[in-house]
Amino acid sequence: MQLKIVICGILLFSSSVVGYLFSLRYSLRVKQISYLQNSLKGLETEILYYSTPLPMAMQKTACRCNKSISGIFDETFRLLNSRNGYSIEEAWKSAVLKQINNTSLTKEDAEIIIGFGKDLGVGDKEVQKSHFRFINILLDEQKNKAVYEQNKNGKMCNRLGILLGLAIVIILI
Amino acid sequence: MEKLKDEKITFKKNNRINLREVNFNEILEILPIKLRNLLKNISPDLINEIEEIRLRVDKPLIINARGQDYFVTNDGKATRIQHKIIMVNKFDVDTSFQLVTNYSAYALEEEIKNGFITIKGGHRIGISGKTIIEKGSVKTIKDVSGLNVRISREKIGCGEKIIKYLIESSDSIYNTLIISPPQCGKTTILRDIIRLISNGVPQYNFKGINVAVVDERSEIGGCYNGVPQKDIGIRTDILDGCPKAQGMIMLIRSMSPRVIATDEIGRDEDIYALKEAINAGVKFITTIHGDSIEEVCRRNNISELIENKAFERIIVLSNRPKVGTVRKIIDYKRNRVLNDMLLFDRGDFFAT
Repeated sequence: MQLKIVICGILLFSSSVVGYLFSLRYSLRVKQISYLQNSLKGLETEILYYSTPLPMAMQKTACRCNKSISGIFDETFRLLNSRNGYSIEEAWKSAVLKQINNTSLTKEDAEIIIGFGKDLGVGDKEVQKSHFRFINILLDEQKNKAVYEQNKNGKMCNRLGILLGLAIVIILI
Repeated sequence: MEKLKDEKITFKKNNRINLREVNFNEILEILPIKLRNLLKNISPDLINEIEEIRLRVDKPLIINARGQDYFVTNDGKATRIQHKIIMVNKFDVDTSFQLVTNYSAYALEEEIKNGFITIKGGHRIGISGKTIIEKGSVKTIKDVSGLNVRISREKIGCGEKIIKYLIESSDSIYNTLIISPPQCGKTTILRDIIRLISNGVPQYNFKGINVAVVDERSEIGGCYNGVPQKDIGIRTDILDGCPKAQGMIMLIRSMSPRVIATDEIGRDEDIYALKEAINAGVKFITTIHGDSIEEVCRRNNISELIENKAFERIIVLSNRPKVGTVRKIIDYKRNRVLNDMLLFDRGDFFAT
């Protein structure tokens, strides 16, 4: 009997952990979009106020921002600094595509971030400023979506995990 | 023919003119991969003589060397016939522009307004495209459609023939004005004179003295990130991209120079700053566009300085018979011509 209770306990625990892990993806996405917005703010400051050349600005941003997304900036810095004739768009795109799997960001997020690379570094400071404002609006939108999904699906995953565990336990008993 | 060649070489050795070798990789770095790989195949002989590389949207890639235009074939050979040649597209120009600006057009707003960017090695990239005008002046260039890579080659040693006429004592020089029509090598000569004054000339017992340069158009020093890419001497301070009048006064106050050098004076405020320099006891070397002293004197602001004998030495350049010919060196205070023969500077021998 005791063994049964222990096994049931373990089952319940592990299924709720799985549920929690699923829901974690949603909450991490919200966090990472925020991190991305913050680091883009940093990049904007480097560009607008310090006129730092883009590769250097990328490197600085990579050092400062959260580890989970710093790979994007680091990779872009590496590609640009190699001076192998990449355009910003190419370098940014390949960096995002390479690093996106290490984050919880979705394909939709990735497309928006890639689009940002098209006009990065092109034109004067005013152009850059409006460009950063635009990406910020887009990311805000994505964040709202992510929060909504977190509330909906995240909680659902959590509960589903526990309920599934309970169901298995009940069936087994 | 053979003999002539030999003679030229010995002349070069005698006069210590030395063309600093161009690091071609610095130029390749600003081109997209496709063009880079093609240019790598071109024969080194031609590469050493390239003066310009032109990229225009939807037009062939053109290399200017030995005074002639060359196209590049699909397999990377220079040719003069338009057959199977490489065309440049918008993407190539855009990528090159990004590489030229180090992906940071926003950091080079001033340079873009002026229409050119100096890259590592002192080479200059001219830009053309659609300009955006705000309040009557050019704000920026967007939609870049043409790039002109002008390869800069220094002529170190070209001022050595002239410097002896400019030395006043072991640590002072005469106030000097270089008069020259465009394209006669006045900036080249000015640069080398600056180098000599700054380094010192042991053979005339001249110690090097502090020189301050205001380089409004980045032509004298060819600065990249503020560091001069051309040899302008060990005691030279340079203000890059600074308006001349403002720069001269700033330098007098901040760097305590013995000599101030600028290129192409002409505006009233430049003259005012020169007077300021004279009052501060600083010597100066400067250049002006013109054919002769008489022509320069027609400009009111300059004629005042010339009539007051502010310039102690006046050098008149000409492009006949050859670019960089020194026609006259005049001691203006005593009103006499110092040199009795034509001096070549870009060429490397005396003409008799």
